[in-house]
Amino acid sequence: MPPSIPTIPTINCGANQSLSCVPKLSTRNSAQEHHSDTLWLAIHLPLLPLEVFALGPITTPTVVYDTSQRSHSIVAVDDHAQRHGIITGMPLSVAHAQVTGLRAFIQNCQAEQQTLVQLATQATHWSPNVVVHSSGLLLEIAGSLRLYGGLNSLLAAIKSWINRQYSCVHLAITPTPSSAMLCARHSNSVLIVNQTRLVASISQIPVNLLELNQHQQTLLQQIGIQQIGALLRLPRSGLARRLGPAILNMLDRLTGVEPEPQITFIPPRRFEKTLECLPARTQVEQLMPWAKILVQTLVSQLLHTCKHVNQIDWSLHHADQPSTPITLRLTDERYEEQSLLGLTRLAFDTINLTAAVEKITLSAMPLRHIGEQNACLFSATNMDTWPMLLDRLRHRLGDQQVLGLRTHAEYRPEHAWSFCEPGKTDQNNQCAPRPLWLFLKPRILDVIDGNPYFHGPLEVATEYERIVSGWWDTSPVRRDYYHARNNHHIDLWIFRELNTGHWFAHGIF
Amino acid sequence: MSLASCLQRRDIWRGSQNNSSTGQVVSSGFRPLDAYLPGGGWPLGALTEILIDDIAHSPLWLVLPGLLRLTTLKHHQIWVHPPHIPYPPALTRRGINLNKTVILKPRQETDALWAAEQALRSDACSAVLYWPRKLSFTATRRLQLASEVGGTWGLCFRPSHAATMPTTAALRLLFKPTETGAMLTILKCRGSKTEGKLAIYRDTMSAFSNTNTFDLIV
Repeated sequence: MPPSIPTIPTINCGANQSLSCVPKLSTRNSAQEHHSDTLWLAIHLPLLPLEVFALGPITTPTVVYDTSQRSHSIVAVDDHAQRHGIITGMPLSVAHAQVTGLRAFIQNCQAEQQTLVQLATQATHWSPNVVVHSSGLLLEIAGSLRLYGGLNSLLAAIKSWINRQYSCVHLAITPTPSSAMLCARHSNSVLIVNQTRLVASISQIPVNLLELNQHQQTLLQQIGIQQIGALLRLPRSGLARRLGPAILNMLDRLTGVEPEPQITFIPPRRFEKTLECLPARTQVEQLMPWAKILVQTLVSQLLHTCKHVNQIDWSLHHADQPSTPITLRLTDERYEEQSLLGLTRLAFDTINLTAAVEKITLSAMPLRHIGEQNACLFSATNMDTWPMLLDRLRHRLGDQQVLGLRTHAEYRPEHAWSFCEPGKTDQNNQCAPRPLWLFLKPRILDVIDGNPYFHGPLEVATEYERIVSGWWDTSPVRRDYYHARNNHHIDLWIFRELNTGHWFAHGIF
Repeated sequence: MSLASCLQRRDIWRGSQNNSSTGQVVSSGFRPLDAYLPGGGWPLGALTEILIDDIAHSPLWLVLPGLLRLTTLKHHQIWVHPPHIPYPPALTRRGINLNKTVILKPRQETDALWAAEQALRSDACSAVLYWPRKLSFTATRRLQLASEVGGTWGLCFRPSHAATMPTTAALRLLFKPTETGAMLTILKCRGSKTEGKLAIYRDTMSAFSNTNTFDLIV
């Protein structure tokens, strides 16, 4: 048990006064009280339906509405719309009547879930038990308190992590998962560490925040039940008869009477995120803000999961064309946001956009954990490493244009070498003297008066090296190799084909 | 602008005085050349131009000792657009580490220039060899600046008719093969007097080298 019951520094419970006094439990008082075994932190993002559209700075009143119900009720409201008196739950038609020029988007539940999954992946940093709920995340934090040095410091760390990404966040900590989410949806900064206080604390929350169907909500309204406290005071048998037995189960789980098993989130192995570009973009340059958001998300996820990537895949989706794929292979595992963005820009510059881009997807397969690597203490941070240079060259020139060289143990000169991936050479076999330059194809030499010519008559040495090899495959070789020099003092490596008697130049010393 | 302030510039120097305040160098491996070049070797962090009648016959043997010394610094080297295949068996025989050597074969000349500049600017490379098809004055300036940034030895092989074109390279020499090696004509040399002819003896494996007076230090 921690030495003192911490309180969330800023308590903003809105109209509900009784909630605000809950965190102010005194230490003495709590000494006798039982500290709950489990503590659930609920993270609720009220503006998430708006934020998934990545609208940038909003200047006009904007709302997001839900089409699942006939009334098209509003689920998220921005500051401008709020100033005009629009609140969540209001039907869209009313909002339109209230504000002219209102921008309304249909709720994109899929994108919201995708965002929550990404957030959950990062949240596994704080707790192994993360649950993706339809309206936010649940983290079981009782097990993490010791590691992070108590509730205060853990909460501060989680707050700074989430506030970096989202400005409007509601946090609530209670002993049961559903009550935590309920409190987070109701107001911000709720802290209830004690099981016995739970019922009293949530009794003021309106019943319409409970996940009940339309029939149950109407019925409760008709019998005058406004708050959860009133609902809990109703006789259980009557409640079960009127609203169905499931509601008893729900209330028992809410108050912690019955256990509430949760499905723990398992982070997906593959990273994939899609952003919609509104309006569609035709210039590569205009895509960079979205690319930046995606790269930031990827980098922060990699950082939280201690993984790295060796390849990232961009996909630019068009309206009526197959999407444009762009693959970036990475040599260095320690990529930072800036260098990844630089490479992305380089790769984007090479493509020729023929149609407007409506969506942009970044996917990657994070790989094994990064081995611990020491950074250089005194080196400049922007120092260019060899892998980074290699990646840049590859992305501009193409993989086939950036090559390493290797030798093969083979007598035929044209088979004694090959191109390979840079740095993948295995050293190395010694051989007889060879020219520094080899012609890709031997050049046939003119012969005048029995003397071969190469930009002038050649003086041919008497010693020769006979190479007879490859009779077992398709390119047999029967040659006598000579050193030769022309009258411009260029030293050549020439050979005479033994079968035909033709002279060829094969290299320059 | 006063004369004194003019002399402060790096690209202006007095031909009469042998300026010892040059940057880093790497020994060329040829005594007469080292003796001539300020600092005693190929200038690092600068562009060197070697002019030759036909760049397809670029004298690798002239620059290999220098490259070899640089690879011992564990640095990579990039060859942009070589005219033929730098033959790996011969290179390994001379001690070049193929693991640290990368060949670039850009499809376009603009890509080649970009790649050469990137490689020179990056301090991940110790030397960049570049065989441009054509090179403008501004391009030489870009390459020279990039090699100054990266401290890299930039090496450019150009046809001999480029001698009439201006350049910002720190060193420009004309290469003529001779019976025993080569005759180098120094056309431009930062930090030293211009004009100069040097005879270089070649340590060649060729059957024609019956002389044993090799001037190779390596």
